[in-house]
Amino acid sequence: MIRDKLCAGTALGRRIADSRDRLYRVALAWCGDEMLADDLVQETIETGILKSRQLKDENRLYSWLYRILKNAWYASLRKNKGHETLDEELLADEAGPFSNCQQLEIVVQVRQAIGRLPAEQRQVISLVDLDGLPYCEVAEALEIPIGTVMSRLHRARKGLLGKMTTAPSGAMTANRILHLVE
Amino acid sequence: MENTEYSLDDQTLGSFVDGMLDAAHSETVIRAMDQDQDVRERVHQLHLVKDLMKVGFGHTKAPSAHSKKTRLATWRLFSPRIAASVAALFVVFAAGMLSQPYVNGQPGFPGEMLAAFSPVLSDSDNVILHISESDPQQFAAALLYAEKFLQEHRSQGYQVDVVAHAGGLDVMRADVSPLKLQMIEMLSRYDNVHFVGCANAIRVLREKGINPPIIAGVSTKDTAFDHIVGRLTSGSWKYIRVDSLVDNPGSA
Repeated sequence: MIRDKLCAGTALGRRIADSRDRLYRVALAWCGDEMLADDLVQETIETGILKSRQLKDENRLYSWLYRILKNAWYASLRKNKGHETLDEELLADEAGPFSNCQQLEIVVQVRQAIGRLPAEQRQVISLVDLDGLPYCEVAEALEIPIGTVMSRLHRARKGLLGKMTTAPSGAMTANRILHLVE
Repeated sequence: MENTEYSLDDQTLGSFVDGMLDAAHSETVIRAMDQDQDVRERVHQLHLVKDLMKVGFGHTKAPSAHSKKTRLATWRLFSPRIAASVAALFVVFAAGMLSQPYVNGQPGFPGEMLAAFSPVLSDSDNVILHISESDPQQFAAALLYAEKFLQEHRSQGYQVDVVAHAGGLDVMRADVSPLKLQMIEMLSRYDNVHFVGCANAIRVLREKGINPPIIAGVSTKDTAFDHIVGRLTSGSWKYIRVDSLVDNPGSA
């Protein structure tokens, strides 16, 4: 196991290995495929640990790891370009410890709505609204200007709300979901 | 950047919600929220997006190393659609047909009941029917849907999983299920129907001092949701909440 082999004894290595769930959530939001997300995270952690000496400021660990994740994802897309177009619908998958059908339905709808956003918007909204990264770190991770982060984030949020509100028949509206999540 | 009627302002509000504004600008936004319902509503919507992202992905954990070894790569996408349902089911219940589990000496559903039950069937996917309530109408709806689906797609070999948790587990209990004979009969006739009970729900019952006997042929999984999620991520499966078959007659 990489964790045992590579990071025993190094605090930074352990932090990187312990980021697995956090990286996975974002990877899943980006690529929509849990197996690919798992591969990407594994690759990110391995690369992160192997190249951890290149990290100048440990406070920037996550923007650095997300940059590695982004590069791994892009490489995977190039390799598998026959399989996915970036705007393809996402699958709905793991629901986690949800205890009723309504919650599962919300998870499915959110993931589908996210999957219908353009990839670059998906990346930004995941890092800000899911992972809570500051704009400057998102900009670093994705190697784009902060203004672009803000404009993509704005479009992504608007798009997500729009897609949730216009979900197909039988689906819950954003307001109903709001009622459930509050 | 988009130049909609509120794009710039929304970016400012977004920065406020994300804690990216300095104190002075934050104060301005807070004042505006005090005075303007529209601003409050827009801030509220931005918080909603954050909540949605957390609900959609926040509880997800990376798969274990073991599951990684056994998984199959797939790009097949799942598109959940809630199936149509059937007003005629209520007529069937009113006629008390379920109290007669034998048809011509064999357990099963009467032909007229199957004919009366006419939901819009999934036409191209394996199906998961999920029951979470102890409701005989839902039990019957699940089995009728499964029966019709299996008949309709006999040649394609699609699978049907009937997954029960919480109160829905009652349909799979040998001691209380009103459809025990029908289930046994379906299991004997179809290789591609599976009844899955939630082991967690069984554990909860045991903690209450009830040791429910489960109908032979029903399998159990640690949690119903894990099973559902596993199916949805492993191929072409359609998820149907059985209460939607009963609660929304005529919906598509």
